[in-house]
Amino acid sequence: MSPNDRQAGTPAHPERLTLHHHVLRYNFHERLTHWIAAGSYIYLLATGLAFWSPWLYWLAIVLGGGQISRMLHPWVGLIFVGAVLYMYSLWSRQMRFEPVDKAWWHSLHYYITNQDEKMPPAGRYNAGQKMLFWSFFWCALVLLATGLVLWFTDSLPWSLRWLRYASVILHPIAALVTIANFMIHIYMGVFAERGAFGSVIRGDVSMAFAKRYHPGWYEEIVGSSEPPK
Amino acid sequence: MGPFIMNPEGVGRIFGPLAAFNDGPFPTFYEPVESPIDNLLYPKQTHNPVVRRFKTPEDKFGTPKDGYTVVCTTYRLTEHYHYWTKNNPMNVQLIPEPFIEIPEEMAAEIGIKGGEKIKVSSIRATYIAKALVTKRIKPMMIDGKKVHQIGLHIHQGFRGIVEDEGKDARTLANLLTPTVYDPNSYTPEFKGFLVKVEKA
Amino acid sequence: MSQAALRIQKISGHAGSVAGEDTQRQDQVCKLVDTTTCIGCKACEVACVEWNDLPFSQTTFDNTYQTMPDTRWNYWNLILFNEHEREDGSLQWLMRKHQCMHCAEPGCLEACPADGAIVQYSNGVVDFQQQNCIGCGYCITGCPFNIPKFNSVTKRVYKCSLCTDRVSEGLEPACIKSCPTGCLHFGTKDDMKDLAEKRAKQLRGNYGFVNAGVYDPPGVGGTGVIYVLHDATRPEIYGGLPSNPSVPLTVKLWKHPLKWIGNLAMVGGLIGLFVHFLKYGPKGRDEEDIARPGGEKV
Repeated sequence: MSPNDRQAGTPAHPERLTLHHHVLRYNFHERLTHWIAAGSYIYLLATGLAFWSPWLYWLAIVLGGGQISRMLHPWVGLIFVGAVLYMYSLWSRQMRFEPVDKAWWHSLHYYITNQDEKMPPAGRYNAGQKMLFWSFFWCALVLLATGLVLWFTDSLPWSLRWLRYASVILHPIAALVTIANFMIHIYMGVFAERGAFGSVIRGDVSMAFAKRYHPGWYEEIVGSSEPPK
Repeated sequence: MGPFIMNPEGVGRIFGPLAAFNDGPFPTFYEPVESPIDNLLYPKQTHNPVVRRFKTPEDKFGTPKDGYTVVCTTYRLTEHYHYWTKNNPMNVQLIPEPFIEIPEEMAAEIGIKGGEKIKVSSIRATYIAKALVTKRIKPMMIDGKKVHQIGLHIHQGFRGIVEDEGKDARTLANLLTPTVYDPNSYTPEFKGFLVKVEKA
Repeated sequence: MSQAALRIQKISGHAGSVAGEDTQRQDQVCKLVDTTTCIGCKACEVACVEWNDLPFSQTTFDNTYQTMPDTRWNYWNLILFNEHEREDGSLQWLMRKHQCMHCAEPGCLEACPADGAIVQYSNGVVDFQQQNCIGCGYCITGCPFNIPKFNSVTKRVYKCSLCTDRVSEGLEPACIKSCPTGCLHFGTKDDMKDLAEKRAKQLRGNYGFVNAGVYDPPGVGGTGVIYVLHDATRPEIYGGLPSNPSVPLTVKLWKHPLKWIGNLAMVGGLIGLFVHFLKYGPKGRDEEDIARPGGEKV
C-alpha cells in the first residue's frame, strides 16, 4: 500500500503498527530521500554561504577550494532539486491544505508555548509542516531556475541580461527563505519535539507521540477503536 | 603680364622629349580598355592607341554589350600584405576569407544578403567569394545610365591557412583583370575593368 | 612584495579592510581613444594579442570588416565598425576600439564573491587575478559593458589588463604604442580629460561636429578609458556603447541592503531559537514520548 491510500473506518496502514507501542511513520524509501535532500542541502548551504559573504568564504576553501566549491555547487543543487521533486511525488497529496490547518495557524501561540493539548487535531502533517514542504518546494524551483541562469551566465546573450540581473538577487532571496525553513525544521526536529529525530532515522515514533502531535493520523492508524494501551 | 617673365616667349614650357614617352609628349585622357562608356574627349579613339596588350587567344576584352556592365576594382587591405600574410595566423585571424564589396542596391537587385556567395565574372575568368554588402559604395549615374561599382581585395590565393582548410573557392583576383599595361611604366591596368555579378 | 600589496586599493570578495586602501600617492592612469581619428587598422588588436601571447582564434567572415562579433577570452580588444547613415543622408564609417573600461567603481569587482579574484590598483587599473577566480561568472553580470569573457577549459574569466605589466614599468600599454595615427593616448586622467576636451572643442568649432564630446560615464564613477566621439549624445551608434552605464541595480541591492537584512535575519533567527529553547524547553516531557522499545529511556 502506498502512504497515500486512505480508507475510512479501517486502519490505513495496519502493517505500520510495530511492537512496544510504536508505529512506523517513515519507511526506508522516505528516510533515504530525506537524507539525500538534507545532505545535499547542507553542502549547498555551506558553499552558498561562502559565495554570499566574504566573511564566510573560508567555508568554500575548507570544502576543497573556491573553484571546486563553485564547480560542485550547481551539480549538488541538481541532486537537491531531484530529491525535492521526488518528495513532491511522495507527499504532495498529503500536504494539501485543509480546513483544520487554518484552525492550526490560529492556535499557533499555543504551539509556540508548548501547550500542544490545546491544538486542533493535525493529520499526518500539521499545517506548519505543510508550510515547510511547500516553501521548500517552491524555493527549490526558484533556486533551480535562477541557478541555471547563474550556472550558464556566459551562454546567455547580452539581450537577455535582465535574466541575469533577476537571478542574482532572487537566488539568494530564495536561499534565505530555505535557511529560515531549515532553522525551524532542525529546531523542531532535533530539539523541540523529542522523538521526532528518531522518526527520520529509525522510522518509528511512539503511539503517544502520534496521539499528541498528529491526532488525525493517529485515528487513521488505529481506526475508530480504542488506542492500544 | 603673365608669370613666365623669364621666358622669351612669355609663356610656360613643357619638357616632353619624344623619346621619353611612348604616348607623349603631352598627357591626355583615355578610357580604360574595359569601360562602360566611350571617351567623351575623343569619341573616335576611346582607348590609348599605344597601350600594350598581350595577344594570346585568352586575352579578350569585355564590353557592356557582352553583359559586362559593372565596374570592378581591386585593392589591398591594411590587415594583409600582398600574398604572404594568408599564411600568418594573426593576419588570417583579422581577415580570414576573401570577400567582394558590393553596394546595398546591387545586393537587393540580385537578391542576396551579406555573407552569401556571389560570382564575379570578367570575360577572362570568374571569381567566387562571399559578398560584403555595404552602404559605402553608391551607384553612379554616368551619361544618364546607372552604373554599379564593386571592389575586391587580392590577398587570398591558391594556398594558405584558410585555403588549405578548403574554406574558400581558391579563385584568384588577378585572373579577372585585363592583360594590358601602361606603355610607359608597364603598370598593369588592374584597377578598372568590367565584370558581371550574379549569385554563386 | 609589500609594495605590491600597497598598490592595491580594492579587492573583490574580501572580508576586512584592504591593506593598500588610500596608502599611495598615485595618479589615475587613463587611455584616451579618439574615435574621430581612428582608421580601423587593427594594429591595437594585433599588439594586444602579441604582447599578451594570446592564442590565435578561428574567425569567419560576417559581412563586416570587424574581426569578430565580440571580444573573447583570448581577444581583449576589438575595433567595432558601424556604417552609420546620418539624418542628412551622409555616411559615416564609425570605428570604436572596444575593451575593458577600467571603471572607477567596477561592477565586476563589486559582484565577485571570490577573495582576490578582481583587484583595483591605486592607479585605477582593474585587473583579474585568475589564480583566485572561481569561474562563477558574476563579474559578467556586474559589468555594464559586457566585457569579461569566460574560458570553458580553464573556467576563468579574462579581459584587458591595461597592460599593467608595462604600465608598472613606466611604459605605455601595447595598443597605444602600436597606434599609427596617434589616436590613442595614455597619461594621467586629468591630462587625458584635458586633451579630450580640447579635441572635442576643436571638433565642435572647426569641423562642424556640433555634438562632439567626451565619453566618461559618471554612473560608474568615471572610467580609465575615455572616448572622444563625433556625437556624444548618441554613444550607441559606436557599436552599442551604453549611454548611461552603471552597476546593475540588483547587484547593488544584493551586496548592500539584502546582505545586511539577510545576515541580521539569520543571526537573529539563531539567537531567537536559542532563547525560545531556554524559555520553553522541548515539547512534552511525558516518558511515553521518548521511550524506546524495551523500555529504555533516552
